[in-house]
Amino acid sequence: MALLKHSSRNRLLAPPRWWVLFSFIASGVNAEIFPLFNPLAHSASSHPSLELSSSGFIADDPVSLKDFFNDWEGEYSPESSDNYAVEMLRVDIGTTLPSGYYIGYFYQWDTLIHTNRGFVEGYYRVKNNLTSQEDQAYGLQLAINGIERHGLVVSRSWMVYRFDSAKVTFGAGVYLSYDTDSQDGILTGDGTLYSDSSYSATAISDYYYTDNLLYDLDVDDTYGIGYGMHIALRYEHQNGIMINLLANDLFARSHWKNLPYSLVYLETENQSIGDDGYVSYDPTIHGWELYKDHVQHIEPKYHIDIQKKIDLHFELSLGYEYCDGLGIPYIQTNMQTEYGTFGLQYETRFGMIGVDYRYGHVSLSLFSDGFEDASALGFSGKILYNF
Amino acid sequence: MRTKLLMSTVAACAVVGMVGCGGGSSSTVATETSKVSGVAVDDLILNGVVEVTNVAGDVLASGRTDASNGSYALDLDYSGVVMLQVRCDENSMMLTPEGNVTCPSEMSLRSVADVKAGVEQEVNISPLTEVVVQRAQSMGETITSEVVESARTEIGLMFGVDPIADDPTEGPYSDVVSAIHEVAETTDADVLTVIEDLAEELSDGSADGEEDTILSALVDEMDDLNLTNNLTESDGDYIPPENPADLTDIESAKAFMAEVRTQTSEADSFITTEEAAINSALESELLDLEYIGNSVNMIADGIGYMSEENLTSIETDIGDRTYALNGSDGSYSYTITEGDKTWSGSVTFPGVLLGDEAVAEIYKEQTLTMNVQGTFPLGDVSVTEEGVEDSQSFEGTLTTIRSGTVTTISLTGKAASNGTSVEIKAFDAELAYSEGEVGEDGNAEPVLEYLKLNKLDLEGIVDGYTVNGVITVNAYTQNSSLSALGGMYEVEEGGFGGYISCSGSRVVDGSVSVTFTYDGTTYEPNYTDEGGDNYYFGFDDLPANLEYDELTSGDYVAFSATCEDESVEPELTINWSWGYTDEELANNGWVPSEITFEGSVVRENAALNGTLNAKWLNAATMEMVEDSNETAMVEVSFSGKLQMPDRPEMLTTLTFKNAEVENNIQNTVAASYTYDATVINATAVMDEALENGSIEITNQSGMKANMNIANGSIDANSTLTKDGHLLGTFEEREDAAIIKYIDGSFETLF
Repeated sequence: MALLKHSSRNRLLAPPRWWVLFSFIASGVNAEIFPLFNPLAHSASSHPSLELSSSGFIADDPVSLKDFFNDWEGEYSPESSDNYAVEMLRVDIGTTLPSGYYIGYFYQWDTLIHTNRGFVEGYYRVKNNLTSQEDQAYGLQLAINGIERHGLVVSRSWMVYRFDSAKVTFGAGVYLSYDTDSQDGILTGDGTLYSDSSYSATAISDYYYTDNLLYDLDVDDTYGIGYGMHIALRYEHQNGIMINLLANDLFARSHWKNLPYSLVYLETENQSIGDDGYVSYDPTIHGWELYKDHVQHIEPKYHIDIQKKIDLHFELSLGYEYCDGLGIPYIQTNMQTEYGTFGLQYETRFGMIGVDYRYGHVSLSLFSDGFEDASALGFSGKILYNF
Repeated sequence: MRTKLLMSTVAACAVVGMVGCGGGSSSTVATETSKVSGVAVDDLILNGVVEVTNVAGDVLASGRTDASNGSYALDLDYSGVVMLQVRCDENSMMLTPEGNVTCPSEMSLRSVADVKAGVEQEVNISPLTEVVVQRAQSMGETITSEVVESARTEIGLMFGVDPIADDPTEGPYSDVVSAIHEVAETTDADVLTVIEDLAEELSDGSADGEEDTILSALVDEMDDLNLTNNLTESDGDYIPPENPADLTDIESAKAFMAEVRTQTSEADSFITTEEAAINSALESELLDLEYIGNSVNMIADGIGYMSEENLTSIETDIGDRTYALNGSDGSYSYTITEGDKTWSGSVTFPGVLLGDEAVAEIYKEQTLTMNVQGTFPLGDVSVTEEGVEDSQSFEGTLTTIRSGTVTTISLTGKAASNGTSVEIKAFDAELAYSEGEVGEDGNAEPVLEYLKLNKLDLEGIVDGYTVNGVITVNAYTQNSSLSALGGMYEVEEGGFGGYISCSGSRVVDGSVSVTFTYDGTTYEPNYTDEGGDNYYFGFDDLPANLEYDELTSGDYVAFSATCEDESVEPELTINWSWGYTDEELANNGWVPSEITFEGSVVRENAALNGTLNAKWLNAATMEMVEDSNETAMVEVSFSGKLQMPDRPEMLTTLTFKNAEVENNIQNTVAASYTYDATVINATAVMDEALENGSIEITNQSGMKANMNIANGSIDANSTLTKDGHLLGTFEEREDAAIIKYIDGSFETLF
């Protein structure tokens, strides 16, 4: 509606009529699963406006979300290779200036844990005190990257190519942030669970953090200064096809001062015979706990979708999102009615079904792969208020 | 291995640090000839030109490196700081893994040293010594001996080698040089450029861990070579301590804690292993001294009976065995038969004559000696284990001397079976009787007043243990609560037993729970036995006045069990037996209040040799009859040598003492051990539950670990110091005791 209003009032920039209709449907419902910032979603207006959006996504492969926070006690269904746990939340408040620049505050909370199957398997068995008839050896791999940041983002979009049947729009945004929480580390090693419930392990953890999730440790507060950029590219054709490319957090970094750091070595087999023939014992765990300056690399997120308008009321789209090895394909259909635009979405990675609704300047999305035992949940909401 | 490497590093750095504490003079003229020697390495530099100058640039000496091994040696009439430079000319070569190659003319490396008059010093020249020189130059305009040693210490602490004195062609140092070459190759730069960049990055005296730097690339290469030093351990972010001695002390502290850890772990493992081995030995069926003792006692009684009744043979059946005695006038033979098995022997009992009037008085005042020689079964139950002969031999002499109301018993002998043998060199005991009621025969029945075991001297081999020692009871004390009961006294007991079975199947091990609830109190069984088809249990710690007929509906046995055949329901069978009377020895209150074992116990490569003394401090006053929570106060000490497997023999002293302090029990444990130059002393003062108290551990070097224990955890105020200087703190983290050192490193106690 905002686009329609804007277009009707600015004849210089007024697009062809087919484009107005298409835009109404195609961009009416946002199909993003990761919380993303889209530079193309903010249009210039001669009226002062306030745009508010919030979106979140939380998912976990091996167990349901409820069980994830409850000692992994429920149904266990890990992926055969890599497993993920994701927490993402984003809030944006801003305005688009008449010049076309969007300026706003944002809050971002991203945590992505990436493990191999062996780690999940071992962790699940330890958590549930499971034993097996035979000794089980596991390779252990875990990587965590998370950040909490408050920042200011500036973006703008430009039509870079246009003629009668198609146009290409490009958008870009840059941001500066004050970062308050960080998780950046890896854990790698090997472990064996024995049939008598004992275990052995060799592991190394190389870990920057503001809150140590591996073990209780009081550390001093600190902060980071971050930056990054978002870009978007849209191709729209008269035949009703639209392609969207979106990348968030490109070249994103956070420069931390005196960030707590732990380098931890675990070796349960700590007995050895020295050159003198005498037995000696190394510590089972040793390492360093320091405060170090650190540059944290934020994983970029990518989104691509292709949308096809079936008729004036229906639209079908295929999309794919990606972040640090986690790919989420999805399919979506939208239907425009006099009561608003309704969307139905299905993604195949976690098996979520989503519903979208937009009416006027308000849009809402909810998606989940279940009710009580959901392992993936997401939401988004947007509102635009013109003064 | 890592610890050892760090320690050798620290040892080198300690030397560096000590040298660095020397004066700050820059140059003096020597009255004695000095000598510098070493090896020049980029790759190994053959026939390179070596030049020694003072800090002003005056040439003091020059020469060439050896054409085959890159070594050099130059005499100097000089003391003070000197610079060494190696460069190549057309006659120089470098020895690479691919063979000799031309040494580029631009190749130039430097080293630096503080030369002492009359001293030959190892001064090597390498990429790392060039870094030391550049670091020294960045410290100030004048390169003094202090500057040299500071730079040397800094770089040494980072790379884990003494960059000047260590041989750059060997060990970790050669790996550092290799890593520098790898960085040069991967960054497509020459080694000198890498060195200059590296020196610049280290020019403020610290490594800051920045990414995409020469240093970070070098750390990666060193990691790939499995090198361990402060740079690799800290991921390239290392700040040498302001006082390098701190680091030396920290490494000494880690070695100290490693010693404590090793001793504690090894002692724990030793005790666990030996406890199991001792139990195995005690449960061994290879020798059953108790059975021999009972048999000898039965023989003595039998002979007495034969003499009294004027018989020349008697026979009795007990279980599946038949016991027979034949003989007269002090000469007898015995036979034990079970099926086709036979055990036999001879007995002499001089002074016991058939039909002698004195026979009836064998317990009267006289001296009697009985000799037994023969074989006995290995125990009450026939042994069928393959390879084990169900027979043990015994040859011994029992002498009893009755004087007044006191009888002294002496036993010597030797028992052996299946490769096991025990020689009882001396067993001395003392019994006192009073005259009881007069029986039908007109004799007063003897009533035992007390039994005192005074000494046991054993030597032998039992299931792998070689024991040679004397147990002596040094003192008996009369306990006031027991003395009131006299010698023997009757005890009312209550109890019952039973078993759980699965018809045609067996009870799954570990699946059984059984309790008895009586008068609102639930009791756990005192005895259980699983492993067979049935699960057996017994309750024998029940109220003495408990009567079967008076059980109410509120009294019950509850059980749960699983049968291997899940279609079978477990069944409970109870064998009622309670309200019986037992007889126990009150010994007129005489209890051993001090016992000493002196001797050795050896098994394989473990040995304990020394004196163990145990005192019962409240033996006289402790309440021992009524149910009482009173704790026995003891003082136990050991002094001697302890040999644990794979550990050096240690002189060891151990003491344990508990005492009542302000109405609370306080346990004090003190231990010390010494071997080589290591002396560790430990003292722990803990409450009765061992939940609160303090532990102090010290060594010969002034290290002191002071651990405060509160509610079973190490209190955060616990410290590790050396000569009063704080080196680390202890804390409890995730149920693990941690030592956090002042340089940021940490390790678990175990």
